Amino acid sequence: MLFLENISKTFNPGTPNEYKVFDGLSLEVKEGDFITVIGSNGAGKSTLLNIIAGVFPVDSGKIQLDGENITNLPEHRRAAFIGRVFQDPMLGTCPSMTVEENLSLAYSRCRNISLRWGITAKNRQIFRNYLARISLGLEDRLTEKVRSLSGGQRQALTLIMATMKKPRILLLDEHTGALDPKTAMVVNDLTQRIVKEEKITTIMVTHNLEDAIRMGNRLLMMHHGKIVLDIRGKEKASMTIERLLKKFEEVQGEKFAEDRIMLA
Amino acid sequence: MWLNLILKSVEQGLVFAIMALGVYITLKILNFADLTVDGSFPLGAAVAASLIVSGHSPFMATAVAVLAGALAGLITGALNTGAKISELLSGILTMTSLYSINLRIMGRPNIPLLNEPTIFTGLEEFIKGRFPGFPVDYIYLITFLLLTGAVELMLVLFLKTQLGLSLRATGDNPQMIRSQGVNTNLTKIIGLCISNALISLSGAVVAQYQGFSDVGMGVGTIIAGIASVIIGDALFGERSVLTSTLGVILGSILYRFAISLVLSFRLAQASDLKLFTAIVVVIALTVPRFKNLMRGAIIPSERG
Repeated sequence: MLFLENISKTFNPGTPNEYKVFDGLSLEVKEGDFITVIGSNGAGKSTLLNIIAGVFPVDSGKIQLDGENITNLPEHRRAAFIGRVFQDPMLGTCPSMTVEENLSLAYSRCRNISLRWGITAKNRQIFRNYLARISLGLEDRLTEKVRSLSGGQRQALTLIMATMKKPRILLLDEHTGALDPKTAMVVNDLTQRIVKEEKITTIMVTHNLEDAIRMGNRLLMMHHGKIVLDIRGKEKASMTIERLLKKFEEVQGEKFAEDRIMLA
Repeated sequence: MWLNLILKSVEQGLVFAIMALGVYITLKILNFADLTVDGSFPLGAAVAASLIVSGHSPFMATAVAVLAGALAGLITGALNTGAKISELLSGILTMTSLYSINLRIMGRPNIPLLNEPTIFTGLEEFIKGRFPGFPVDYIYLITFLLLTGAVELMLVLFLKTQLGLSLRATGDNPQMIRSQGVNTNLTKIIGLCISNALISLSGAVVAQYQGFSDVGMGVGTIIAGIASVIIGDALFGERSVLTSTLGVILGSILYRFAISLVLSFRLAQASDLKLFTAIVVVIALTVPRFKNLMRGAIIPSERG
């Protein structure tokens, strides 16, 4: 359903800061896949998501979604079929706007340039129902500013905003990375529930190896802009952290190194 | 003397509040430091005055001034989003070119409107004909109350629409709103158009109120606008769009009142006012920071 074909991307070309992230990267994502992505520092995990979302253009290569070439589609147009949650809880919501105003922006995704009312009584009821599903008590805080929510609540809200209009593909960029372990677990459980219930094709970057193994049906390990491991199905189901690290050493001939990696 | 001083301050505060609301849209909502203001304010005056002296209806002249202001905002927006020129420089470029354009429009540096029909003479005749006992002294106050009230109402309602929410999100978190499918270049341009349309409207009405349009009347408008926004902020905070916009209007009135006081007690000459205003803004901007510093030293901040 999503094809990345021969993608190349170099940042700051022709300057002393030139940095080549991808040189001919290809990836096929199947309908209903829940892919977890791990990788060493600077492997290009976030860049991969940013390229799919259209945050910056690729130097060469092709991105295809549902048979349509979206390589040159700008970010705000791709938003019609891509939902995103970022690592920083500050990035996914508008802090000085209320919970219901944020939800309204997500609910009318890609129809936001109109003079219809942002919030109607009907919408408010819909928002309340969505929030009640995640049992964080947010359904009673619709008119509070998002600034007053905790990091975990904001990530949960962002997750709902990214999925309330079912996206063709959901991109999660270490979305629990800035949360404490307990809150991270709550948000991860919520993620699994929503992805499963709505059957959303998902790519999740994480630095938590356990989450990467436990969640999803396919695991990618990236290294220096290349996908060095692609583990699916039964092999993934029976994967352990030790075997994953050993496998990486076999393929790469070096030890796995990521400062923030969490083994458990 | 006091009654007259307060009446004049409220009148001026209300009419300049339309400009301050325009500044509020760029400064607070879009988080865009737009300096077009010093050009779009006299643009409104120039367009309205020129059309009035050439025999057009003052209402039509004011409406055209509003459109001219929107066009100025469009140009600043296009320079910033299309030509990728920085916000500040885009505004400065438009403002500077408007100085020449305003002179072209007027054909001379100053157009007196003393014996010309204005929106006020029209209303005065209407009211005198219908309600003979009406105190004509208050005609400006009532006109400004209605006009500024209408602008305030429309702005608050607009900011509750989907487009209005998108505009607010553009200033708050552009990355997030792009990921929700909003073209932030477009929302920026729309915001700049609305902002400068209001500023131009304010200029057009001020010209008719004071009885002339002058090519130099825009100098320092942005600072007066920022001063009003800051005073409003200090009084009402940022609880909601309604309270903060009402704060801007009240801020504008208090600002004009402060200026009237300074002038009537001869604490300064009229020519010192720009300096006075700049100092007020510097103080208003730095005092909260000192307050926060001191508060931070005693009580740890909320975010930690």
